[in-house]
Amino acid sequence: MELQDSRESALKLISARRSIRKYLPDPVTDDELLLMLEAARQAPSGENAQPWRFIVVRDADARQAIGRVARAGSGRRFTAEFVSEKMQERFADLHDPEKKAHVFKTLISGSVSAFLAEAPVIIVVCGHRDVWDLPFDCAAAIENMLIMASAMNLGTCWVIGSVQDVRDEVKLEKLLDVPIEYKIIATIGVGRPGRIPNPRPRKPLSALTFRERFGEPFIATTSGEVSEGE
Amino acid sequence: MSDLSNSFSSPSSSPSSSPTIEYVNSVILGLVKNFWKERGGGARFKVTTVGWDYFLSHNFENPTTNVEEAFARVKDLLRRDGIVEDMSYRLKENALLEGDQTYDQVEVLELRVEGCMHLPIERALLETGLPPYMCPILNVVACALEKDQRVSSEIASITIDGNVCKLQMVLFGEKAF
Repeated sequence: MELQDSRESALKLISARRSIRKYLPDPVTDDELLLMLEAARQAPSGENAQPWRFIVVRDADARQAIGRVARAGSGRRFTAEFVSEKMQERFADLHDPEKKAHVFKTLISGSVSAFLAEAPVIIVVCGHRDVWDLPFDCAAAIENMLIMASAMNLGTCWVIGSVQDVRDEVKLEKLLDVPIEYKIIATIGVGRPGRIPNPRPRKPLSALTFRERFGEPFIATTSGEVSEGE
Repeated sequence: MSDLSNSFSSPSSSPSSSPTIEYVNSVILGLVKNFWKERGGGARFKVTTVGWDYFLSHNFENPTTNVEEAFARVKDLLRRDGIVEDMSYRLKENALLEGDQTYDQVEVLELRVEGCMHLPIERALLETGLPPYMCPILNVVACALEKDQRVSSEIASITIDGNVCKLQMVLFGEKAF
């Protein structure tokens, strides 16, 4: 019974997480941050290397600077996507002109990432370069943090736009005095949600899961039975 | 116990010739292919400064003040060093239009490069089904613009047409990005 409850709680929590891009001005406490960071610390890592390091940024000027880098990176990339018409291909199925205009504006202007500056806290996730599995290790730690934040009704958004391009990585590394042996993996906005978006569509499991080899449909049995292999 | 020092000793005589460009290209191709396989669509954002060290090592004293000057500087350098046979550009205003909506107005640098020494690598990539995603020539132009004029840029497309590379790069003024 207890296990069943845990399963349901875990899935509910994971499913309830949203990427929050609008925050209330209310502060995030250090206690809350410590719980998020503790969740990150418990993540798995290759060779148990624990290569992650976290910079908690509350300073308004620093947050603005990070937001500017994020906006610039995303704005440049999405404008180039528009010019090459890849963006139009990507959203070919979006027919509502108002929605399409909103999406395109958000992407081209870079505001898709610039909101980061408005988060009361930004957690900058760095990883030690001298390990084998740096991005994977740090991604596991980040997801743990997001789930923990969600459990405390905090809103988070995992933003790559600030460091996607190596030119922007260098800018942030300088801004935050990150030593050469570390790499910034991502920036996470943290705050109390000002707006909670509807869930984004998820592809069905049947489209994502295969049996024994890629492409073979996985048809799960029910009632606790085990699906057979070849 | 085997004598490891023998395994790492230098050849008794010097190589009879310099390494061939084919060998160097095969190594670069291997790197580019493996990096794309590792990083996929994100690979191109991690190689945007490849070529910057080459350009900056020349320590040009007088900063350029516009696209024309920056292009001329890069063209002279690349032709002098035998990296390209020729290159030309066209700068056009590009309205970002979709239906009756105008999102922004940007400048697009259209670059035409003939006889680039990197072309064999791009062709080999295409033959293996991978898209060319790194252009050191465009990166050098981007470096010249960013360092002297604080103009940021983003590669929009890389197209190979025979002996010619047709390239598009979006330019942003300093206030934009």
